[in-house]
Amino acid sequence: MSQQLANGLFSGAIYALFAIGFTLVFGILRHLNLAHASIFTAGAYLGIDLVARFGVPIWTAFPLVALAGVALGVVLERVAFRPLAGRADEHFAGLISSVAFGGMLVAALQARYGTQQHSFPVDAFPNRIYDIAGISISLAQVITLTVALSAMAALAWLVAASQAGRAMRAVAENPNAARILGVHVERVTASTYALSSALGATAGVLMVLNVGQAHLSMGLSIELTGFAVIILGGMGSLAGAMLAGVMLGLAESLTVHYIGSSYKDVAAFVLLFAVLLLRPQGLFGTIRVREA
Amino acid sequence: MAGYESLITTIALVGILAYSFHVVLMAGQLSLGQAGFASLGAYLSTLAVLDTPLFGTVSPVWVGIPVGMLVGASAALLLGLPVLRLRGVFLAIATIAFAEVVRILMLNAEWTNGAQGLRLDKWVTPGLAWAMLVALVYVFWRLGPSRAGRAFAAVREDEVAAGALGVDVVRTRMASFIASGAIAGLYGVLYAYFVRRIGPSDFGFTMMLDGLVTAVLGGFLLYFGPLLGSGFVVLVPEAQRAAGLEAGWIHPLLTGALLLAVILFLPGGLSSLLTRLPRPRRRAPIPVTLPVTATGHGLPARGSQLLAVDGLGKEYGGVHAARDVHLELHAGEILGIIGPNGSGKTTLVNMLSGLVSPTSGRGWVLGEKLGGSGGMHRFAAAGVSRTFQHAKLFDRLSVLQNALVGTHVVSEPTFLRRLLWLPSARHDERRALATAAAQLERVGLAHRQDLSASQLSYGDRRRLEIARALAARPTLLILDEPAAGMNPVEAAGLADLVRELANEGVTIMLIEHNVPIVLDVCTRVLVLNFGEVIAGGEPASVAADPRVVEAYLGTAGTGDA
Amino acid sequence: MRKWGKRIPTLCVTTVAAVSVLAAGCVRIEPGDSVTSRPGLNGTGSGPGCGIQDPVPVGAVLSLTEGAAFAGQYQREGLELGFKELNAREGVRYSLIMEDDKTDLGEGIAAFEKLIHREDASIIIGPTLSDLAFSTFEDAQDARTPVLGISTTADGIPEIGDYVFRNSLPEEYALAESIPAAREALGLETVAVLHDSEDEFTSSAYATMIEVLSDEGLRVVADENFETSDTEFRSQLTKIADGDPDALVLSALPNATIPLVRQARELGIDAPIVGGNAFNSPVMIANLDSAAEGLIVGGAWSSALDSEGNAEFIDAYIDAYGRAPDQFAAQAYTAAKMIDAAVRADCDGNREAIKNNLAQLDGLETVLGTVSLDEAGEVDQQPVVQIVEDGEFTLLEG
Repeated sequence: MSQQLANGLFSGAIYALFAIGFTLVFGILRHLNLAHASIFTAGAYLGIDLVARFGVPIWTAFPLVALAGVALGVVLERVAFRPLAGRADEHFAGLISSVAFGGMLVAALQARYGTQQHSFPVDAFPNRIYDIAGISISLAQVITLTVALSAMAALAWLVAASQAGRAMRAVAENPNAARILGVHVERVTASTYALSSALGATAGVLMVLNVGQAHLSMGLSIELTGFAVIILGGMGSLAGAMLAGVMLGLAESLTVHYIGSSYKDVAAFVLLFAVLLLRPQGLFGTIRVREA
Repeated sequence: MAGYESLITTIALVGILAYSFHVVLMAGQLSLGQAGFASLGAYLSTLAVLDTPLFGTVSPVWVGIPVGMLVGASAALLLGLPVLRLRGVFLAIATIAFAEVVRILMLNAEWTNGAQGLRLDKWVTPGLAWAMLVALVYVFWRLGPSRAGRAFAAVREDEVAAGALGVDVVRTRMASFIASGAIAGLYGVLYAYFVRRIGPSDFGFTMMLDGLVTAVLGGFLLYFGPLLGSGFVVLVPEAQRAAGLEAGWIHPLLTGALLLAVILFLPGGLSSLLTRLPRPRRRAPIPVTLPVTATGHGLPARGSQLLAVDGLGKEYGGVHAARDVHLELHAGEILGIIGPNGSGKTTLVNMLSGLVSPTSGRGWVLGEKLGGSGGMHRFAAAGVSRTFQHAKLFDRLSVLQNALVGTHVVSEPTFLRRLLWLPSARHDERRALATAAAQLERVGLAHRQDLSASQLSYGDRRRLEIARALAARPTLLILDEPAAGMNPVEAAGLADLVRELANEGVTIMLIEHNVPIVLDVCTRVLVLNFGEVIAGGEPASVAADPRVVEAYLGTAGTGDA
Repeated sequence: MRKWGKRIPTLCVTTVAAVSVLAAGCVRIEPGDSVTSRPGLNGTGSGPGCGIQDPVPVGAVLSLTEGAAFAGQYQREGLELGFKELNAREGVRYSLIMEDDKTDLGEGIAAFEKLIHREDASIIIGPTLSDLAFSTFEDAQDARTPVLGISTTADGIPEIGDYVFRNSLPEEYALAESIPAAREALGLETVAVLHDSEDEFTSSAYATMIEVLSDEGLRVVADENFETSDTEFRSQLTKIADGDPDALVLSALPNATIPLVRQARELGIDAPIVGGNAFNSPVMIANLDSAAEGLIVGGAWSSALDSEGNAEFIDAYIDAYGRAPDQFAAQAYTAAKMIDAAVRADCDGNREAIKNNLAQLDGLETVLGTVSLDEAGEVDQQPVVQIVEDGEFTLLEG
């Protein structure tokens, strides 16, 4: 039982990290960025490539992958979102263009890495197993949790306390007003995507570390989970996404344990439905207009 | 055709799938649950389809088709009841979740045989698939220029404006949702009896993306978009194969690039390319056989009471946007409402036109109770027509189509009669066209009728909104700051128009910042400040009221307001 | 009336079009009845001395991309190697026409249609997945085109018709051997079962697995499942660990095997793992390293098998593609040899002759061992049970 809670916590941390990137873009820019899952996948493949081919130590790989995420995010914003700014169908078109961009990114990964699954070389890091009060935890999981928590903490600080964070919050409140107040809205938009994609790409590496393998459709499954997390946590709420991510991880574990593994994914969607219908602002969100 | 039957059938099937997305997109709904509807339709139809041909020769899938469509439509109705309150991405996510839940349930149910799926016979021929697709193309071709088709477009472009013109937004959204379910169900049945099997994973996230991409590539503004999109989506891989580009990543890369290019540079999809081709104009000039007057039927007698509200108020989280308003209005009046910014003018007319419900007080407008159930289309149907402070036009529709939506409440449904080519439908459409054209003529936009609304200048946008409101032949016309942004000449023209309408018997409520116009045109003026009525009466006496002067200038003093 | 008159032509055209398409919809598909025989494929001589003028067109539909590419690529290489060797021999030449079904049913159907009707393939090899085989084999049967499945192991496939054959040992047979072998070798009493419930192949194997387990008198202490795209199995494995089974029986696709085994070991499940075809790959052992030790794998082929030409096949394969072959490659390679045997039997490369002779194929020595096809078109061969020891597949028996 306590092992199940630990299992849920570790996968929940990855869900949270993935969903925070998702919800950051939605909260500040009102865009539903469906390419986020592809950036997650790209992060995973890049991380493996860095460690396996270039012999980069795993600790160094994280910041490098995050940087690659930043680059991808900037390109994504430039190609798929900025040309749509101000158009009447901006939100719908952005959704479609992000699907297109995501598809192209995965196609590029396929061209580069092929269709077979990839994993870290066996000797990439010592895979120690710790036994803590009857719960077995691997070193990879410890790394996963550490990186996820520090990334979340860094983000929380950035948004709450930094100059850039203030600009972001101003844009989230009202882009036009922010512009009048001298905020460089385009720069904030680009950096939001950069930040979000850095988190997404990092989550990808953590996923590989946690489960042991990357494949091209790994983004698809976490995307659906990501939807559930951001709705549960409240669209645009960072704290909500963190809590909801962990909650969902636990819910999955407990569903397998008590109900049966066939219904593992149903748990997420039943929760999602209930929240959408009963409390559309999310469990932890504040009331917003349900428009996007 | 031999050797290409699968390809030909696939084009038809993908086209049908795309129509199930088309029908919600054309009503502006991002509903992505089609995979769930298709799955339910396909699985349940297998219970009704026999193993042997009907009457010896007829494909038994003819039984499955109505069953699948009915199942899809019912599922959409049941899902729509709770989730259609949601909008935009929330609706998208909720419907995707529904499809996932259906997939998981089908995977774990006993009778569906889980992942191994059900084996079926091949009953779908290219002819059958194309017959269904042609039927859909026909239906959508006839739907477009019908009253219902315009309602779909209006809801897509602006729900509030559509409601203000009498379109029942909730029902229209539900109708598109149910139609989507029915078409998805049809697709599910045809697909299953074409590929000879049903498995839960056939109806998943990938199928949803395929349908959405096809519908968007083809374009959802024109009825043949899905057909075009499907031809394109199916034939591109063939062309790629013929060109010898076999590597697996080329196809997704190409699809992505194409989709990106279309959404960035061709938002109307591939079908919008065809409308850009020059073609001979077939439409004869519209004969304006109707009188140019706005009304002409059933206006209440001058002086009869149209509106009475008592103690009306609206509170937003502790802030009183309007408070304790008492108001009566009689036929033939021109009531001006003035007040500084944030004084509650717009809140008041939003309540009177049914857009927002009052939090206190009660009253009625043209027999409709304020705060009752149902949307603002009830008020429009009763004869209230309004414009908005920021013109709410249907931007992607032409000027004429905008005005045509205005005729919604004074015209009859024509879609079903158009399907059957009944002459009466044509007659009704011509009448609506004449009404719309007459109002465009009246505001001086007749020569711009084929432009899209987004191409109009600011002043023209306001004029179009007035013409559209007039096309509803209202009893009570509410104009919310119509003169904003107009130059003095245009403003004077507006004043003339208001007087003219009043002469014809239309009762008018005019919210305006341009106080001279209000004092000049109106028969009575109401002044609001901080949500409360601070003065009311004859224009001359109101202008002299010190409270009014204070409200406008901030301090008591002299000078003209 | 004048205006109305103008519209009548439009109306007529619409009506006629509508009626004709509806009428077209009423016609049912009739199975193709023309058996074409090309004289150029009718040779002289027989067996090794057979000579056929035209190259025999052999179609192949494989999942070269997307989900099942892990198998499709090995199959492509095995086929190419097999036909290259055959074409180096005298008398009969083969032209191999390969199509990618992208792991998609619609694409597979279109590819079969192309090969049957436009390329006039004498026989079609593939598709990779049973999922696709159920539909495409029906089409081939209707068109009287023989098909030879090389990895389609699901229940009921040979029964589709007399033109349908396969050389892929069904998972059932492999399990029927490997479970008892494991029970005997390891003295098992209790097992836990974990399977992919979303995939047709693995869920069909699961059904058999449960039967075999109960026949063998093994007690199932945990029965868990997951979906194809899942990579996180700790919740299921934790439940399995609670049951403390003597062995873990898996039915999963290769994509899931690596994370599954790794996570199981991490959670302290040291019990031996028994798996089927999906584990029969050298890549898996390399990726799992020490976690692979003790895996028991049932299958149709092993690199350790002392069968006709096996060592030469492995050498030639590594030579050509720079990696070791797996079971998929071996079965594809064998398919080429079987087709050659069927063509040479009557020295006839036409569809009917290949079909008739494949049906009579008996005791052919191949890299899979001795292979026969029964009347239904089902393969008959001895399954192989292997255990991973010191990082290598070792035969558990025989």
